[in-house]
Amino acid sequence: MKTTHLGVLTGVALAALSSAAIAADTYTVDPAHVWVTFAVNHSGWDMAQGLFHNVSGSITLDKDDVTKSKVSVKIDATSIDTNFAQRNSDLQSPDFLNVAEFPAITFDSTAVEKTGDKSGKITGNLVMIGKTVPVTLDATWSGVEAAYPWAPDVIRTGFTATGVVHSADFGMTKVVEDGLGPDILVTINIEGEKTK
Amino acid sequence: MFTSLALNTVVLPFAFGLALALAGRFGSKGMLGAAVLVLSAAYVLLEGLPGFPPVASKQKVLYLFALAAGVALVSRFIPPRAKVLLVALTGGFLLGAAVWLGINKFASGGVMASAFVLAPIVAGAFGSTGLHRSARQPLLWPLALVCLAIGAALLSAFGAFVGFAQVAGACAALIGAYALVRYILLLAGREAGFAILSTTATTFLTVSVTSVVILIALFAPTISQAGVVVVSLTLILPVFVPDFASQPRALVPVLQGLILALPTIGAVPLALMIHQP
Repeated sequence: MKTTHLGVLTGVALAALSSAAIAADTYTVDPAHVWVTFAVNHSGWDMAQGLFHNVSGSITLDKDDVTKSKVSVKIDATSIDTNFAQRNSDLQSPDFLNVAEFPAITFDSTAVEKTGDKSGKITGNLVMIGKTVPVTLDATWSGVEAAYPWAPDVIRTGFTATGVVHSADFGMTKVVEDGLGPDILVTINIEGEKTK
Repeated sequence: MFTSLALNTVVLPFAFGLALALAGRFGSKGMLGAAVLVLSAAYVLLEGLPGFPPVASKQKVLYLFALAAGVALVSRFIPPRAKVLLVALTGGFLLGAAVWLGINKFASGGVMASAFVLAPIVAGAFGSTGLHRSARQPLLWPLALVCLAIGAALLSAFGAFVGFAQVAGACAALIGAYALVRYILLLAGREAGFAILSTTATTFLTVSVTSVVILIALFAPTISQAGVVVVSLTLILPVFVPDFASQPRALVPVLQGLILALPTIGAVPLALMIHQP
C-alpha cells in the first residue's frame, strides 16, 4: 500500500515537473532559419527592403502564463544586406547604424501581453547605435511544435513579430535627409529549437 | 532634399566664410572667436547639436572644435622657434582626439587596422611648425586647408560616409570663401583694410579640420587608407612651399595652391580604386 502511495506521489510530482517544463519552453534561435527584415519608404517611390544575416537569441514561451514569456535577440549590425554593396556600406556608416562603434543591435523583452490564442504584444528595449528605446512588437506563435525526422530529439517551433521603429528616436537624422522613412517597418520570422 | 543638401553643405558655409573674411574689418582680435563660431555653425547645420555626453564619435567633433580653440590659445604663447613644443601640443591634441574618437572601435579590436590614422596626426603635428608662415602668407594655410578638406570630402564620399563628406565639404566651402575674399582684396589692393586670420585662428582651423579627417579615416566603412596617407601630406606642404617672392603677388597664391593641391589630386584615384558602386 505504501509502495502504491509512493508511486502515485512520485508520478504526480514528475507530472507537475513535466508540466512546468512544458509550460515554459526555452527555444534557441536557429541561425539558419531566422529572417530579420526591414522595409523603409524610399522617397515615396517604393518600399526599400533589407535584412540582417546574423541573428542569435532565445525565446522562452510560457504557454500557461504568456506574460511570463521572454524574448532576447541579438543582431549583428554588420550583417546588413540591402541587395546593393554600396548601400550596405552607407548603412554601416555613422550616418546610420554606425557599426564600427556599435556592432550589435539587441532587443530584450520587458513585458508580454496576451492578445489571442497564439498572439501577443511584446514590449522591450531595443538597443541600437548606443541608444535604448522601448519598442512594442505584435507577435504570433505558429503553434506548431515538431521535429525533423532525422533529428527527432530537437523540437522546433516558429514565431513572427512585426513592429515599427522610428528613426528619429535613435537620432538618425540622415534617414529623412536622404528621403527615407522616417519609419522603419520591421518583420521578424524566427524558428527556435529546443532539445527534448 | 537636394536643395537642403546644397544649402547646408555649400551655400551657408560659403556665406559663413564670407562673413569670416569680412569680420577682419573689425581687427584681428576677434578672428579666433569668429572662426570658432562659423565652423561650429557649419557643423551644427549638418549634424545638429550633439547631446552631452556625446554617444557616437561624430557627436564628439563639436566638442573637439572647442578644445581645438583651447589648443590654439595655448599655441599663442609658444614662439615659432620652439618647434618641439608646437609639435608636442598639436600632436598631443590630435593623438588624444583620435583615441577619444576611436575608443569604441578600438575596444572591439580595431587598433592595428586603424594605424594609418597616424598619418594625419603626424602630418598635423609636423605642419604646426609652419603655422607661423600664415602671418606673412595669408593665403598659404587657408589654401592648404581647402585642399585638405576637399580631399577628405572625396575620401569620405567614396568611403560610404556621406554625412562627413558634407562636413568636410562645408569646411572647404567656408575656408574657400574666406580665401576667395582675401584673394579679391589682394587683387584690388585693399588687403590692409581687413585683418587676416591670426596664427591662433589658423591653428584652430588646422587642428579642427584635421580632427574631421581623423574621424573620416576611422569611421568611413570603405575608406581608402592610402588615400588618407596621401591627402595628409597636405598638412606638411605649407612648411616647405616656396614664398615665390620673385613672382607677382597675385600669382603667388595660384602657384602655392597648385602645389598644395597635389596630395588631393593624388588621393582621388586611390579613393576611386576602393570605391566600387
